[in-house]
Amino acid sequence: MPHLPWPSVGDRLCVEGQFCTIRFVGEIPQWKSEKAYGLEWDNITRGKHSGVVGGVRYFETKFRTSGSIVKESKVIEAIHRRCTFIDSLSNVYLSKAGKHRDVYFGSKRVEMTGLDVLDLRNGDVSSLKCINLSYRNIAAMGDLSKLRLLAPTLKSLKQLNLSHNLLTDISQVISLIGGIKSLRSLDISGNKFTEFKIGEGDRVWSVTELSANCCELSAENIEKLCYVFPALQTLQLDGNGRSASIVLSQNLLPDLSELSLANNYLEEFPQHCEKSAVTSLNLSYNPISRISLKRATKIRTLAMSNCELNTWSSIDAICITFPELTNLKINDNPINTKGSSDDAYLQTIGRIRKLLYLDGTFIAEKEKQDAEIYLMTLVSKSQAPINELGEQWRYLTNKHGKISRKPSSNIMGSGLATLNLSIYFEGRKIREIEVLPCYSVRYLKSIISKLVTLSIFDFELSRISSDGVEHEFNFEFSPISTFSVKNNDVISVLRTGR
Amino acid sequence: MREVISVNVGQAGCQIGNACWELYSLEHGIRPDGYLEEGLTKPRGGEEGFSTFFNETGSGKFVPRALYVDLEPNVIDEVRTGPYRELFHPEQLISGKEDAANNYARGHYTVGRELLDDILDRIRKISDQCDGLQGFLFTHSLGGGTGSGLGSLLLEQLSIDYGKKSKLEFAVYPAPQVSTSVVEPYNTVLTTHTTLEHADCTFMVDNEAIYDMCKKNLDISRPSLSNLNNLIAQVVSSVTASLRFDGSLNVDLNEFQTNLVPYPRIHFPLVSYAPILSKSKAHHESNAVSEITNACFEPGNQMVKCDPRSGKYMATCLLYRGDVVTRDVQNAVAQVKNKRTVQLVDWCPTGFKIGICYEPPTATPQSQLSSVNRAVCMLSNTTAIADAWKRIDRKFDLMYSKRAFVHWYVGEGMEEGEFTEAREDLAALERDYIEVGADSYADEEEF
Amino acid sequence: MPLVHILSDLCSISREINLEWDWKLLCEKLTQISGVLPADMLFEIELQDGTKKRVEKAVSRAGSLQQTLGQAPLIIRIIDTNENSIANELAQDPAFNSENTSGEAPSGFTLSEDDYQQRSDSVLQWKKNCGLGKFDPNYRAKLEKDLTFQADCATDLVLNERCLVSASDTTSERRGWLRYVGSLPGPRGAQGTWCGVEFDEPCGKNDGTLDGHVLFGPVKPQYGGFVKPSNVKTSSEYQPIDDFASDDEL
Repeated sequence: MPHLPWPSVGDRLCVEGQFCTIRFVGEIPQWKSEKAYGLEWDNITRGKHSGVVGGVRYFETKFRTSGSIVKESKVIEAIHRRCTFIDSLSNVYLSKAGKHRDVYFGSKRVEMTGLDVLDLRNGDVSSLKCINLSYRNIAAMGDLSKLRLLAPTLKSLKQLNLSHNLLTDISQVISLIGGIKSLRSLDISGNKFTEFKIGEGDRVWSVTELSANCCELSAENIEKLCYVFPALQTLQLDGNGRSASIVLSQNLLPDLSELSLANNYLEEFPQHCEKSAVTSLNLSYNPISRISLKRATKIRTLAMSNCELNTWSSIDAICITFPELTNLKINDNPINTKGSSDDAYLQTIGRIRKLLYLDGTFIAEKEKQDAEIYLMTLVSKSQAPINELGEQWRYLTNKHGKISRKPSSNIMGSGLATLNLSIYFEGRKIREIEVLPCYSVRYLKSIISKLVTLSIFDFELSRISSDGVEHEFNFEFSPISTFSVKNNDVISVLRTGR
Repeated sequence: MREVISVNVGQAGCQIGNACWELYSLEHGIRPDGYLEEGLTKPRGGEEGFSTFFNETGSGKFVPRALYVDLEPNVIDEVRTGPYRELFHPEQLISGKEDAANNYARGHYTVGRELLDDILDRIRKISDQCDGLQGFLFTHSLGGGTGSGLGSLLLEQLSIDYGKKSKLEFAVYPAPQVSTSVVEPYNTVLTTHTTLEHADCTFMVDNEAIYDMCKKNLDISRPSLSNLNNLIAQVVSSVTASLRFDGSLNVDLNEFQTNLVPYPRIHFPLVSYAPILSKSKAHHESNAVSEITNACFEPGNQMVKCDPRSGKYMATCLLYRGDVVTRDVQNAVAQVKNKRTVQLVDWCPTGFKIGICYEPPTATPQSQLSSVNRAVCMLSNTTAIADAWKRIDRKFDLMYSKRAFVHWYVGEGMEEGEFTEAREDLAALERDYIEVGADSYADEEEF
Repeated sequence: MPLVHILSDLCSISREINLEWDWKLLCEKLTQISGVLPADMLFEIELQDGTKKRVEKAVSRAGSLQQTLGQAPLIIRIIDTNENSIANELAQDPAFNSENTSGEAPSGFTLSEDDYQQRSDSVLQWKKNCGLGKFDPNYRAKLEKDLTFQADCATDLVLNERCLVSASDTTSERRGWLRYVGSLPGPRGAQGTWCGVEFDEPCGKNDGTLDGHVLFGPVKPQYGGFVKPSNVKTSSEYQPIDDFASDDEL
């Protein structure tokens, strides 16, 4: 087995399950007899400092606590565990596992069946459809001439997963996959590529699906990737930072239909959606609070979970900007966590005309109509804002007729009148909270769960009415109004967990 | 040929049946109209695999070996008018006009019995198309009137008509949060008693557990019944994968019994499945063999709410699907062993088995599940599942001590004695589970 | 037919309702679901346009649902006006709605040990017939031998000392404090001498409590466990293993 060169500054390691980059190799006065390695951990809370030990700066990390200096003995195992793609492929897939020690549970031996067939199937390079070498400590692809011989033998390979390894040079990866004509899908997530030399002829037209999450890719490198993979239809660029939105704003990939840009610190919705062919866009975990874009008629699926959408006008903007939207995910935005979840759910359905799925739930035509009427009723009572000159409102009134304005606060008693509840836990009052009667018991429990720091499965609720009688809450998905909870009632939290 | 006939009974049974057949069709490359997807010359799934579940007609159409039965027309009408209407022959869909009113006695004795001859006739026709019928796969709920009453009636009848053919069940266990009626505890106890000696192996699915998975793992804020059924179908498909594709364990219906059931009454294995990941989470979770194996031992991946850490295992089958390698499987099992939450009853004839099915799972577009290249399904016969019986028995007792609603059953011609007889049988079952867990003898036993 | 959500103290379900039904038929259908008798029913109905309607004495009301309501209901909430009804009794019984299976059994069914012994298809009978478990002739002897062996092992152990808990494969030792040596109570059938260990990490099965008996602690959940004395060694040299606190990292 050809040995990898001894690692130096800039190389990647996986030490006790934690990924890091070597930032310093040398001697320090504290350890006379042993070589020291300065590491910058990917997990920024894993380290102890930013590269300064005993008043001396040995290296510099991006975050204050992501650096450590360790003895060679601590990283030696990690260094020896590094391997090449070629080694890893032959170890994992192509070689038989050989004799293993039997595993016993008590006096019972574990019987394993089908492993011989599995070895045969996996051992046949030309019929492998999928190679998954995720988390295998691959630091380099291996000898170039061997890679060139290997590639054409992988005749059936469709999916290659190299995610979460120690690769730093993208050109090595390209030199392999350029020769695999059948390859459709590639995953290189979690590798921090620093070498990005791309030649003019480095173009891979067969790959249509690429995952490059958490690769710390700069805008320039994303452009290069898009050059190499011009036929991409699906692209994942989660966790790369703001630069990732360049794919949309410069429309780098003409055939792209599915794009994920989650967790990229984006504060703005990426511009120029309207120019791209993307039909499915994931922007979850970005602090986006508003949408102002040109109309983008291609988008049908949009995920914006855990963003910062906090006004109904931003939801209305989604409907205007993406008129063909059928599938939306917006769970865990301020707009649907601050009030009643039922209210937000129904209003959202009412506001987005062609919606078929909201947060993963199919919306039947009947439910959609109910939601539209619900929204119109709220608007008519001035309990929900909407642009009454806007298209959606015109559409709703055309469809359902005008709803006469009634004085607010009488009907739909479970509408917006709030209830004040005192929460008692272990004999004392811990908080007063304001809730809506249409909250489900499960939802109320999730609020209280945060107050008492218990899992919702580890306590029960009961209501103590003014006459001192205790009533249980039985059905978790019923609205609390079912249990005649009234304003100023006392809710007692009863621990049931183990 | 080793054919299996699926029988879906009652509202829940038929809805889960729909979700399953949609997934099976997708996995084998069969279009909703019963013909092959373009580019295929035969269905995916080995030489014989697909023919266990599908019958090929002269015209090249593939028809599920399935029967849908419900006492009321609504759900079956949906099949008749739904996207898969052409997949089935009209004779495979049987519905009555009068519902079972959530009453076991109506499903079992009065209304259900009227349909019985018709149903048995149709089953006979489907079985006539089989060269070597292995047995039957039932899907029904325990709490509903049709599922519990008619379901158990059919199981009894098939025992008479088809002798020793295997009968496996997927049974939906009542969840308090989606209680369909006040008498679910009665129906559950009555049907369990009736089927205890007729079913060879029963996989229970607790709607509450499925609901929590949809919320926590799939990020569905408000899981609907179809979300639940899609997830159940994924699990059913994994359990039946080795019957339909090349595999190494549980490739015949009766193998499930041999591998999992030490004694006929103790036939309720707990099913776990991993990974259950939403599309957006899939790219961030390591789907390593060791991780998905470990996940199977976590309560969050179990189809029934109970705590196996407090019980003992009589048998465990781990079925891997798709892209796995031998060494990873071996290491994963060694790791499970080291976590030492698994205690096997040493004197039971069953043990710990591992099998591989070489085809990866498929996910339907609307299921919200990410499509993955590998998955694992664990079937384990654990004493912890007795918790499910304890829960329902307690409710039964509370109601029966007040004789609540018993007259509804008596009014349909049932004798009160059947209640006590059924309850006694379940008490004995609870006691049986204690007996199974007793007098184990192992150094590494731990509390 | 519109899908209507039906709620009562004892049920929560969506059902299709035919608006052509008369009120009496609706009441009868809902009785099967909710357990509330038609004569005791009071409906709180939420209609599609958001208005609420109370329908009292529905069972004796004339005309169809369509005639009375004019539109499809979204939610029908059934209230049982009879305080002494069975449905009310059940709804108010805390045990009925609790998922807790431990604790006192309700005024319910108990199978006497005699009756169980009599049953011919029981697991007990099977064990007897096939000589399994305690009916295995060798079982008794093996058990006696183990009980003595474990008791012997326990005599060497020092209570409240650091300890090492090993397993047959050496890859997975655990460390902690030995907190208890003695017998285990409860119905688990564990005989002989056991060691209660407070682990350094949550790699145990409980908090020192077994079937309601506090044998040590209670410590943090999953930090406690009971193991056989033969797997335990005590010595002050078994100090906690701290992955991060070694002096080879600065």
